Amino acid sequence: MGRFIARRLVQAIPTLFGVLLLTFLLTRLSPADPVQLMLGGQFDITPEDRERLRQSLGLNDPLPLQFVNWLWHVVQLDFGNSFYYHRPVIQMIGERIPNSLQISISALLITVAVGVPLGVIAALRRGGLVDHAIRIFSVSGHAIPTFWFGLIFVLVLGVQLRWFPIGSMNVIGNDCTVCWDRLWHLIGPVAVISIGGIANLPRILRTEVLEVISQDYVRTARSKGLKERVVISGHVLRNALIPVVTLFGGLLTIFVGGALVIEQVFNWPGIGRLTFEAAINKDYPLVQAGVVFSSLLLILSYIVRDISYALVDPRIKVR
Amino acid sequence: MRRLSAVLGAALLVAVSCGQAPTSTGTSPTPAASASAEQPQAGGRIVFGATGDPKTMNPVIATDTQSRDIWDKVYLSLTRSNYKTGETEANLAQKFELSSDGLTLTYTLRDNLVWSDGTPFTGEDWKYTAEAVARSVKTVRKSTLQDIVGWADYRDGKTDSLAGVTIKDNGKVIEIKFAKIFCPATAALGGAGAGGILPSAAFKKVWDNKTTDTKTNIDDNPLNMNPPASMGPWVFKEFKPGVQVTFVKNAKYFRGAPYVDEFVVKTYADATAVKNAIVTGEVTYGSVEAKDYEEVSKVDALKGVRYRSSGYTYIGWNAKSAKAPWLANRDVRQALWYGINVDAIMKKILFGLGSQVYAHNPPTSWAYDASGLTQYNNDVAKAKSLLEKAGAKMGSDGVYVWTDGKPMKMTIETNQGNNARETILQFAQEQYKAIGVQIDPLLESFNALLDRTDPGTGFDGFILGWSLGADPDPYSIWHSSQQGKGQFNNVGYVNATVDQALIDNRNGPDCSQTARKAALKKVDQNLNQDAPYTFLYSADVLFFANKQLQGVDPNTYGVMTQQWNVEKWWFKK
Repeated sequence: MGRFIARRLVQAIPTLFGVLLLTFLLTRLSPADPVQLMLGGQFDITPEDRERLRQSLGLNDPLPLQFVNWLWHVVQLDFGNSFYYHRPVIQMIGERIPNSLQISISALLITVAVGVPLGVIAALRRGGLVDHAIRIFSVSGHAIPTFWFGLIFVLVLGVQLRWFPIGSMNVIGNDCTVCWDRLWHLIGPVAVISIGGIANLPRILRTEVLEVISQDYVRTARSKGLKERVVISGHVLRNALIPVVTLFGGLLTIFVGGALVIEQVFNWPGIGRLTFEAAINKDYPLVQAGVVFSSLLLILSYIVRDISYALVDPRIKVR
Repeated sequence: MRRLSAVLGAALLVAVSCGQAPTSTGTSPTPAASASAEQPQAGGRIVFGATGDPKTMNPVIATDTQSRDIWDKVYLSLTRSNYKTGETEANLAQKFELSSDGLTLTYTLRDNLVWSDGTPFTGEDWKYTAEAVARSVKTVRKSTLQDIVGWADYRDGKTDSLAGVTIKDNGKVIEIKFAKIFCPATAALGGAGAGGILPSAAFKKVWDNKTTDTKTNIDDNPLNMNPPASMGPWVFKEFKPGVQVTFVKNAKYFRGAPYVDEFVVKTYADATAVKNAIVTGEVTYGSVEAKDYEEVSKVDALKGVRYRSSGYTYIGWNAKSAKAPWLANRDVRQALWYGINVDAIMKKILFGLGSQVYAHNPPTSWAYDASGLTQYNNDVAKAKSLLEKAGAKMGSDGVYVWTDGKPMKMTIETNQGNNARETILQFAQEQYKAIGVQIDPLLESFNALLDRTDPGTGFDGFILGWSLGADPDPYSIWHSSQQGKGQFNNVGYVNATVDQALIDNRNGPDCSQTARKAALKKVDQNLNQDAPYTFLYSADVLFFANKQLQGVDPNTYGVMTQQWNVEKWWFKK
């Protein structure tokens, strides 16, 4: 197992290098000048002041040199200072990661807790009213874009009905992390981001359960007098879950990517909103670090997925 | 990576789709509630909504609004702009005097000024800040101070002290000597170039100003994100990135401690989120966009105040354009002004919440004087006759042909996502068709627009705006020398009379307001006739505050002066 993890980690290095190169090139490809944007519409600035600022940011070096310089620092976990905030980028990312994980992990748990039972029920009640209802929910939930659902949530449940907060992590003046207030603020973003997963999961699980349930070993289990609950959880679900684990990889992608939009809509101070604002501001070091860390999270989650394959299905050997 | 950019695209869509203007028309403004004569009650928390984190809390290196909204709570200037008239008035200084030769400026501080940590406030704090500006690499504030005697020597590390500044009378008097007369000096120098004065005792620990080593400066140190002491009404308490900055009241504030206990600047994702927070009461006060004005006006818990801003929006015409050589012709530029219906634009974008402008100095400025200026009321026939007078001939396809035989087609560009400017572009395209000029619209990101419209020949027309300071000094925008890379006379404007008037306004020798007003009048008259811009409008600031909040009386001169009397604000329970 240890060797498997080590090998997957080594394999991740070229992927990460690709991510680094692409991130660097993409941020440099757009035609605009970060110095220009930093200074905005101010008119009492001399060209000399402007040039000095460019020089101090290292923007006058040739591109390959800028990349090598950056790479060398990244290896030492030094992402430099943000052009905009004049603060160490690694510190800014560090502040935001726990906030983002709160949404992603909660959304993952909710998706499983709601999605798995719905899928099983749909399969067991195949053709019935409940099955149809779940399928309609699946299709529409899948079709509605996350950001639209988020905007509607904020406008209707937040601004008009005032049932939920319009965003942020806490009521002003309240700093708690584990408390009702935080939970109250989490409901919106987590509900919105989970809806895609909850819609997707039952669809796939239903098909799998239906396939497994007609297998000989299920009939055997039933005929030896096992309770239906034991048959479903011990024999059917265990086998039906394998493709679901595959789906998790995709879900994690949605959570990391979707969080970017949802954090913006719900004013959640996470890594997604930070990266989004940095991209608008052309804050190269911050965009680069934001994308690198999001990619890192993604690569790690794929490794976790591969490990959980082995846990769910002993036939898949970890080598 | 592809996935990320797709998500980015979706997120941008959010920003744009939030900003669609409603089709209804505007209503008349709600007058400000009259100040209450009741006994103020202490306590409570004021919450202000900002669209982004502060980038720094050090005014020396700050360049943006979000940062200023933070440092202006703790670091003050010796003078300030009167909240209504914009005239320079006493703040930390009790008086200020420019000598009759215009070469010596003397500030006398109020008695017993102390920082929130108990350290006395002295002229050394002013000098320290000016010297920090001189040695800073990241600052963009040096030009304000460059006429002080000995400036270059200190900046370049030849001396360890700014020779032209003398601190006298136990730190109570600051005497500044200039190498040449600089009329905006009194207003511009109160903040030591930076805008706000730093506590030198605390900052000396991170950067000592008494040095000739130009490699050290104030640009990167922990205090830039953690103001150690305050002269303002609020004392910095805590910064939570992406969430808020918290201040508590300064018991030692020289105008008296505020009634309210806490001031929070809360970070929101965008202007729509701030508007939502104002409506739900999370934010105590703030400004909204014209399109949201009607909706927010209907909220019972809010009172609205509408006031003029010190800036304007315009269409610039590049006289140096290679593709549109006709823009160098004054008759053509006047025709373009007659050819657009500014009134209709203002109704559509501002819902009537603004005023039309005809030259550079906006209605809020003491230099404003619209008498004798041509108003260019929309007149298609007049526009066409001006084009013909300039030598254009009507082509067979309804588009005029210029003297060089080419049809009059040109590009107007502006920044994507700015609803007002996008709408102006639509109007321009439609209405210029009627006068036989064809427009290709171009939308791009804000920084791409600024890049492309850098002085040169590669662009034709563009829509942008200026936000102007209280003291009028339009030298960098209109002087013919200001056409280098990164400079602001990007329309290639050259007029000897204007050049001289701009220098008179800046360097006197008569710096009286009457003399400067006469010089600026000359600038405005010439700009109005030469029409290098089609001057459009100055939008109003639409301010809303919670009705429980008493004493609020915001006015024109910037975000800072919304809070000019914040220590007198209180919550009626």
